[in-house]
Amino acid sequence: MKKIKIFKSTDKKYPSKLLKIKDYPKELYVLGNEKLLNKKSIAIVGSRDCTEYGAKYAESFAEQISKENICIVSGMALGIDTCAHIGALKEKGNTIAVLGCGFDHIYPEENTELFNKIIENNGCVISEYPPETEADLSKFPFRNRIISALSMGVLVVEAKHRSGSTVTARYAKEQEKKVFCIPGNIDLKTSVGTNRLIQGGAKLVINAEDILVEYGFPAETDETEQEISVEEEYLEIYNVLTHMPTNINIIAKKCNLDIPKVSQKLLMMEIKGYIKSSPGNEYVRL
Amino acid sequence: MMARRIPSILPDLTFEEALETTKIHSIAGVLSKDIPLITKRPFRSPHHTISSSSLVGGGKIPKPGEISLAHNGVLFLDELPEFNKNTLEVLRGPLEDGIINISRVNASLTYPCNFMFVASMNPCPCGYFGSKDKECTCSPTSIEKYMGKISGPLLDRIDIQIEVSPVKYQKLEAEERAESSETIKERVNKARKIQQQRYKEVGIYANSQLTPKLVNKYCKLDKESKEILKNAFERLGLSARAHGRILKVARTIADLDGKENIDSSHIAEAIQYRSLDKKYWKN
Repeated sequence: MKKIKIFKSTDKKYPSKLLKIKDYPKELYVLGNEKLLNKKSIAIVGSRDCTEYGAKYAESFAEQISKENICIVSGMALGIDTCAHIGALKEKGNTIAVLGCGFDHIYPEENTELFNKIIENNGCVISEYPPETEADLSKFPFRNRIISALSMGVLVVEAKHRSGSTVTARYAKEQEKKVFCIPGNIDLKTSVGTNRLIQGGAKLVINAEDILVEYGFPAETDETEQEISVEEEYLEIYNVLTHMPTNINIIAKKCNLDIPKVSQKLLMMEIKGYIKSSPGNEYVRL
Repeated sequence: MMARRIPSILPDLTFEEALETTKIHSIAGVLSKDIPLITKRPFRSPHHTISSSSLVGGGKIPKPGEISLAHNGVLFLDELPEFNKNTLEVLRGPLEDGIINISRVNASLTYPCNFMFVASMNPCPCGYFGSKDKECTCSPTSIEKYMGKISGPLLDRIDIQIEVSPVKYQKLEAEERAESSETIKERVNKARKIQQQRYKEVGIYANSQLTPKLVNKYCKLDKESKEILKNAFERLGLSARAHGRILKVARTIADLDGKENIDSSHIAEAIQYRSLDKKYWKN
């Protein structure tokens, strides 16, 4: 394992961005590429139990933003955070994970692999806590101030009402950073937080350009949706499907086909990579 | 409720099968005086507190267990993840071989156990994972732990896996006529006849008994179907054990359809009955 570097707040190497907030960490434990800490960054945060929709866009936004050589900051939690890191890694981009615990106790354990991957790909993992600090859920919201402090702006993908992600957004506002939100379905708990943030003045974004344009990157006006060509025989079912999960019973009813027939075709479409199935007999477009 | 209806669509017992099943029940001492010959396929549904020896058989001089009592019939395990993990794992061999060898100090016996294995389970401890109507309250770890009780090798041996959505009250009330058990049974018996006819020379009577060699002979695929199967394996990450089993299921679907050859729709249906594990069991 690589050596952990410790930056004191008086050190030259200590990221100046952090000094701007009032309760900046006195010490910072850093693993990996510390140069990233001074790079232009955007934070992408969101709910741990995210939906298919949130996961998809967390990843694609992270990928798009990384293309412009902007670093993605997130908290390496399950759900949206994980997807954001993965999206950034896909573009060979840079990503910073801010932990709420010490390096010896990666939380959640499932993400140890991601942790290693970030380090391997020249990313950076930081924490304000000494390595032996165990994960303590009450500490997690507090580290969110670092996430937003390192970034030019914060994108909240999905958030429940009064959750950790809304805390990050609050810190961002205090630090006079811009907050971006992806709108969600008003039926879902995971959209309440983001929709309320939009109501409170956060910028509603539907693509990565909406964020990039705020920081002087040229806006590309490419609004046309990418159409994948689907064979004639699958078109009827494909047209019924959307990016929100649809139940197989509804698909069958709308297409006027029996279940075995529909499920056969759905399988073929899944194999061909047009759609994806999710628990509960639900299907979404890819 | 659905599982309990299964015997009503199973093909009739042949005389030899009836004798075999009766013998086992007689040895176990559970044959009732009023019914000297069992003519209906047995349906066994032990509670999830069952021990592994009462499931496969045991005792000083081993007696047949539930799996042998279900010989030529159905063994139904409700709430599968609630069963003791070791108890479930002992099913692996019998499911593959159709016989069980039990060795004790006093005797070593072999009992037949050619049964249809049926099981049901919830998608998570609270039961609402993936549901649209109610949000699931389980943590990812608890779901993983719950699903982890069922091992990959056991899952591989389950040929048909179906996800059922909860039924709404209005639907329960609605008087939509579904196909009755009698008509389904007719179709099943017809398919069985086709199979008996086909396997006359090789001494078996059902698709499930096909050996790998016979699978090659009787489950030939056309080019299109082969392509589908190949893609499915790559995309869905199916195991090698699944291969032969998918072919057998496809053969049965074709028989029920009254077709001589397996075509692409049959193979697609058979694969789709396998697509559950990749959704719920991630590794």
